[in-house]
Amino acid sequence: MIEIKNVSKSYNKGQTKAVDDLSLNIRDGEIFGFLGPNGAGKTTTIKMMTGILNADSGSISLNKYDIKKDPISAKMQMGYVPDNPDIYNKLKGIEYLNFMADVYEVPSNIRRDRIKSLLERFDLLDSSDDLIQSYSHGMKQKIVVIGALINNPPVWILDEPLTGLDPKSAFTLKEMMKEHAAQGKTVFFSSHVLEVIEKLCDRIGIINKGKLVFCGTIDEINEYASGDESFEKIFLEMTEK
Amino acid sequence: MKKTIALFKIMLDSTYGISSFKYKASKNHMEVLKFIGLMLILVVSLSPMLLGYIVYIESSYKGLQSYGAQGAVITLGVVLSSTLILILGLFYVISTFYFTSDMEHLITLPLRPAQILGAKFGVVLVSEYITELFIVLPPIIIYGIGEGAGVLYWIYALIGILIIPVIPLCIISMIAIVVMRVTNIGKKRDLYRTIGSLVVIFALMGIQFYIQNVAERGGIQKISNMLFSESGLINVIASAYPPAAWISKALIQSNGINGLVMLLFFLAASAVFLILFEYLGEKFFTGGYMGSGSVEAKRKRITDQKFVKETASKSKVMAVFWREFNILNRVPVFFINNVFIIVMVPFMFLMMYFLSPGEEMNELVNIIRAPRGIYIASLVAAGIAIFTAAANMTPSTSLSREGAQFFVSKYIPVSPHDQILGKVLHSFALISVGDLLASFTVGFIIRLPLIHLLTSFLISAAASWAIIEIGLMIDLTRPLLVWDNPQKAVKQNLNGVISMFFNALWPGLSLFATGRLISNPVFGYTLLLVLFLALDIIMYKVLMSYAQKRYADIEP
Repeated sequence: MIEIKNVSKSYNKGQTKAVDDLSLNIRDGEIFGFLGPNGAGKTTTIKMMTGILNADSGSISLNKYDIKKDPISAKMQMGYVPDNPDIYNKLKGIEYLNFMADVYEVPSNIRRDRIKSLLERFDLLDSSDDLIQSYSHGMKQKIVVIGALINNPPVWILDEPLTGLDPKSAFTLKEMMKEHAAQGKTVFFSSHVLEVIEKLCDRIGIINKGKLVFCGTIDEINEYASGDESFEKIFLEMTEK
Repeated sequence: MKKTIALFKIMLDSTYGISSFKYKASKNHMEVLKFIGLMLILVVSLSPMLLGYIVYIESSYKGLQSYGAQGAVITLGVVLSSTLILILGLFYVISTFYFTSDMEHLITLPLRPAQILGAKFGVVLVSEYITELFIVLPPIIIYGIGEGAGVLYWIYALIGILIIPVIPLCIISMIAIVVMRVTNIGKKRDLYRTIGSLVVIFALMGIQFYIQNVAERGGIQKISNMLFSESGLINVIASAYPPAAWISKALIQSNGINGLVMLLFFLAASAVFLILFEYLGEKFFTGGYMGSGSVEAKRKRITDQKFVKETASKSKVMAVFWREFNILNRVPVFFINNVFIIVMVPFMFLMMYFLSPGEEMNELVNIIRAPRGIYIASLVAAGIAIFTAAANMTPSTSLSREGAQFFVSKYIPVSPHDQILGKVLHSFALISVGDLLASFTVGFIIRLPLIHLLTSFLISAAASWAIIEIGLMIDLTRPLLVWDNPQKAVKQNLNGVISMFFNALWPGLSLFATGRLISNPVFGYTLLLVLFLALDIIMYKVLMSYAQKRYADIEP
């Protein structure tokens, strides 16, 4: 469960408002899609949720743990896939995964099974003993996804997770999101790909210029439409104001 | 040429963050104050060394005046700055030429290799000016004022300052281009390159020591015979490096035609080196660069045994420790500047020991035989070990080295306390080895008894723990997280410089005061140990509470 209450964030001493009084409630067992044009405030929101950035005001809690007041407990609840998979080029894939398992306190026997099955699922078993530097963009994305799943987190936060993935891996990841939600866990992900959001998400939030302009189910968004407008057209109308 | 200049301007801007500073300053005027404050700190921390150097040049000038050979101070400055560029410049040149993140983009543009290299050479040249000015300016000013030099002297001096780094930089750049081309083979090129560059550095240092040694052994007699002509000493010093003699003579004889001829000689020699460099660059640069970024990929399934070993569980602190350890050892620039440096100081001492004439060493041994000799010598050994710890930038660039990846440290569930402790332990593991090597090398040379040797190692290790904590405090205060070249995180990071000078100062003063004021060795050693250990504990508390605050504040 993720609770975001009246969160704001600005840059340049308040001159640029990146996120403006945002409130969201994402329930257990839900896949929530976060949409918005470039520079709308998606990544800033996600960075505040993960503790990378501090919110100027408001509060964020992951599974009831406040990210500011109890950061370590809150972070233990989540797995995070950043928008840029450039991580620790000079570590081997297996070393990176073990580092993540160590910091998320995953017991040895469990981590071994989990690492092996995830590496197999993402076709990385043969590259895990190589430096991440030798990976393609998609392979890096996959190793980061595995790192974010290593602790089987109750809350999964993914920033543009499908970028750079080949069709098979993209399919696998989408399946995993569904499985995750089916286990009663929360999936929060941002994307530009409207079709994916439309097909995958239980609910969506649309952010524009730092403000939440819509939050609801796909059916609800279609009620906004006049006639049989496509999701794409509705999205464009909402974010061009 | 137009393209080279355009490229040079952009590179200079991004290297020194000129546009980004202007932007930040326009949004927040505090940035300007911060910058001025930082410069002041830097000047203050450098001033004892600079002052010492000025005093040395001034007294050499006066001393040489009686022989009429005072012009040699200029040669000294030129030779010193050229030597520094030669020995310290290789990695800077290699990383600027080959390892900046802009290379992948530049190589796709319609530019000739020599144009890219020319612009990069310019950027390196500008940063060498900063070091050069500190070394060359004092003798030029002292001589110029002392001799009441005319306008031509100052004009020649300006030209000289601009051109002096060109030849050493060309030499080092040509070596870099050849090393990179020759080692651009197979899949272990990172390793070959590190080894290749180390061999070059050791060779250059060896040659330097050899020349110095020969010059010294050439006999005081021979040198003093030549002192009585104005440029006699210059000829001796610069016999190994004629351009230094030419520019010195150009300045000394600036009021005659001879000065102009010497200046032209110097300019022509510099031009020849530039042409040679351009030729080599055009021919070998691309071949040395291509594939630099790619690394060995076995793509072989990990064995079960290795899998079990690699997935053993560790505490969070140790997880951070091993992350630091692996990255520091695997990025060549980090390895050279932080790990390799721990063998540099002992190596230099050994070199001096084996190359110096026997009587000098005997003198040293005699000093120890004097009353209180062992005690003072132990303090000196501890001081040298502490200096190697202070000069090690591992703690003071620890956050900076994380660079763009610092966001990972922000989102993983590891408290600032545990992250910093992992970093302290990692730095200490490395630096205490440096302490051990340095104190034992010095101890071996001056034949220190074992118990005193161990004591000086313990004192240096106790001081090193606090040095690490202070270094981390400095890096926490202003981490340099935005860089496009790992060199910037370590070698061009002011945090390392500030930490080095500050951390050399307080232990140095403590050792000096103890040696002066306390004559009983047992009491002196105990006092130092207690003092340093107390500082370790106090600084630990300060560092941890500061880290708690800073980790929350730093927004990557």
